[in-house]
Amino acid sequence: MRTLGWICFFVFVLPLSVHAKEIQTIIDQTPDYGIVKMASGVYDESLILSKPLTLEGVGRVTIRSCRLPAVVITGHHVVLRNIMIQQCRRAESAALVVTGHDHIIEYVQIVAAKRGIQLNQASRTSIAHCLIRGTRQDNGIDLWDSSQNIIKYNTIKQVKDGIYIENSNKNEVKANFIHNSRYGIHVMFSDDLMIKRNLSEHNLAGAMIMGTKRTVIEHNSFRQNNRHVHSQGLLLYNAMKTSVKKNVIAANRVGVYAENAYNVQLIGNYFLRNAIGMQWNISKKNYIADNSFVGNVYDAQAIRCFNNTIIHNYWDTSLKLDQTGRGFSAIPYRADPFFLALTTNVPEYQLFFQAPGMLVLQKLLRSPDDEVMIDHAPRMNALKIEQTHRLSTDPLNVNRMSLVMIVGSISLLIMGRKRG
Amino acid sequence: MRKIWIFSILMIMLFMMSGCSQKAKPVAIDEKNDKCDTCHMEVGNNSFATELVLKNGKTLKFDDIGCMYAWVNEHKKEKINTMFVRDYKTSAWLEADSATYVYDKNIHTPMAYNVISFQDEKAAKRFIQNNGGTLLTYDQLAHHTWERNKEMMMKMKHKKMKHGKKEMNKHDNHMGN
Amino acid sequence: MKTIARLEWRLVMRQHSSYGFILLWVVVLSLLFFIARDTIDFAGYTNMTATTANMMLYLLPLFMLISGSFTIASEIENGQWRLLRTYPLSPAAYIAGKWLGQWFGQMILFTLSFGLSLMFSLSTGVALPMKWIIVLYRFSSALIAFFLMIGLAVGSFVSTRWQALIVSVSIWFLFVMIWPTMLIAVLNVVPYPFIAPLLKSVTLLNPAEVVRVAFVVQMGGSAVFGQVYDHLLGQWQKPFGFILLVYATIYGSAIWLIAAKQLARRRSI
Repeated sequence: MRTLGWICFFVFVLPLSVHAKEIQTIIDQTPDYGIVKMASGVYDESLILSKPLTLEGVGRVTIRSCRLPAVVITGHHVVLRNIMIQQCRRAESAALVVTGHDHIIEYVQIVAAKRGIQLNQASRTSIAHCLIRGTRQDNGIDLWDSSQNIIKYNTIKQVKDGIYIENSNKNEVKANFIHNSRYGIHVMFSDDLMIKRNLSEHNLAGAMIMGTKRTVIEHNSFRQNNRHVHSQGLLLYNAMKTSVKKNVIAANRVGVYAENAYNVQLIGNYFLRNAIGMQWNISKKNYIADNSFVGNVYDAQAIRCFNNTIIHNYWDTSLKLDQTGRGFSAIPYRADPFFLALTTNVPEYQLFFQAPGMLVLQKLLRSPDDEVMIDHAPRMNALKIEQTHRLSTDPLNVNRMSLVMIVGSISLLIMGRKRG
Repeated sequence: MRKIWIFSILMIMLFMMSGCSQKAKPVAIDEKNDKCDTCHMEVGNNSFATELVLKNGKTLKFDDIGCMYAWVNEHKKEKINTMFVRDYKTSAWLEADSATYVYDKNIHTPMAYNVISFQDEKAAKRFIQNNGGTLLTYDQLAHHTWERNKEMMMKMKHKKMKHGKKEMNKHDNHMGN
Repeated sequence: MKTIARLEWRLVMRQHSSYGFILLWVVVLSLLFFIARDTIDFAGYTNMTATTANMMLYLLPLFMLISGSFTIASEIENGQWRLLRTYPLSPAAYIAGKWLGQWFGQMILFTLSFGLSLMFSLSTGVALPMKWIIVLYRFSSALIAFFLMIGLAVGSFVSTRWQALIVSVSIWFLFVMIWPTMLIAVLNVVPYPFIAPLLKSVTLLNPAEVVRVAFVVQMGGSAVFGQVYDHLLGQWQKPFGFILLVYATIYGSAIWLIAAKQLARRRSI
């Protein structure tokens, strides 16, 4: 058995260490803007790309590294393409570390033990079509002091925060898919970000936007972020001048939670089947219009909010009466703050969520108008938005079940009526 | 028979009431469920976590000392029993008024208020010797401006670019919160 | 006990009010299913599921309390019970038989209405998710079982049908309508750390709340109840049915014993 082990050792390990040495040397010998192509295989080495060149995998190229980052990119104009990076369990640093500017990273697959990609003072870098799988211990893509980068078409799963952006301005985050992580997109103290067409689902929170200015959040889907007691689709905290438009926010515990939010434009979003559509706390001068609220248990709750404009939204449960024929109702919609106010003080009362008696109490204790967010002209019909997947149900099964129910109960009923 | 019942219930109630006037104790952080009462982020079970126990026995948790002070400043009417912070090295719970604090813009805390707490002053001074920073007592902390690192960073940006390499190493293990 | 149960079942089947029940359930359920047609789909915890559950919570407990209390109160009123007293029949067996018969009968009526409403909604083109139908059906049958038992207990305490009606309506009002208001009012004077344990234990006294919470958890909405209940409901999710069954058994037998004891005391007077 031992001999067999030694044979395996020689057969597998030696060839690897041979061409691992080669790669770094080849990279160092390559002239600026040259191309290095790696053949299929497993390489146990950490590479440093410090001058403008292209490193491309042909076939299945796997780079494995334990303590050091598998690949470090510095300088400018480095292209990294079609490579798979594997970190072992005891790794301490990020799998891929990037600084400098004008790099392109695409079709890179990362199986990370800690952080996937670390951008540190990197700018004008594009990360596209990458796949990152982590162990929930660290972030997928982490931006620190890095601006004007584009992150698009990536798939990130099982990490802490899918895309974490701190202190980094003017980045674009487009069409990424993040799931089964802590926070999908987490932004802190960064301005002028563009977050578009991303899908974030089954996370603790779809997106957390904190301490930002002028963030644009459009056409994203935040879905099914509902398994945690503090889950929400989108959280805005200390977010100024944020524009949130045409997103689909579905089946979350709370669709949008906003606190200390000023000058937010929440327009044309679709709130679908959330437990609570949106919650607002200590927020001023926001503009909430043309959103559709369908199938949410509570549509909206707001406390300590002033000077907000809320108009022309569609509320599926409200009473509607169109007097003018312009498509807007004359009956205002009130977002009753009572339950939120009650549970903010004593979270234990959340047990009464949608209890029949709670609804009665809410009707009885009508909050004064100046404390309530009121939509004075609700929309009569929901705005059209591309329909999300329709739940497939088998009518045959339901049919069968109803038949069994009817036949069974009728026969028992007749049996009971018989004399015997 | 009925009187005995009422009496015993009253006794239990009294017992329970007397229990709550005792000294407040810190509660363990539940990483799965706890969130910061100011900024709504998850509270990690690390040395940055703080707790605040109100007079009525309600415990609030925060992920950063700055978040706790933000809450205190916003809720001046609430009666506070005790504030708890943790030792930077051991993560042991301390009462806030017995701790020593260090502020430095390069210390990374979850909400970037950049203040950490120490059980004894010596450890704090040693930290300053090694990493730089300003020592703050509990009383001085009350007058701290709680300026976040973001504004600082903007000003420091050019300076930082020059010694980027050194900074980079520090940031590599910055709190990913 | 068997005889009582069979008699009771037959009685329920023959009462004119039973047809009233069927009509009511069919109308209410069909309307609810019909409204559901507007929402795209409602698997999971949504406005539609919450509204339907609340509708059931308003109606079922009240009617079951009244049926349960009337079946004993009327026998006491018309002297049938005095006749029964001469038989060698224990009050416990009497109550158990009554409950079995009533539950069986009411379930037949409800199932029939449920089936009819399903059929009706299918024929109008509303496709309901199977999971939701099953959870709703279980939810309703649990409500029927609990409140029939409480109704029987009410019946064994009162002496006329009029009293039975008043007590039933008050219990319904207490458990369903005024419950949160009452608890919030009481708990506001309690020191904060005791709110959670008190609220949890008091909730166990109210089967309507327990069944409602169970319903929300099964629809996957347990997160809405917040952090305080996460440990409880998180652990519950797997052996949920089992724990509910244990709770139902303990609660049901407690009420059963109280009712039986009261009837025994009446008999000896």
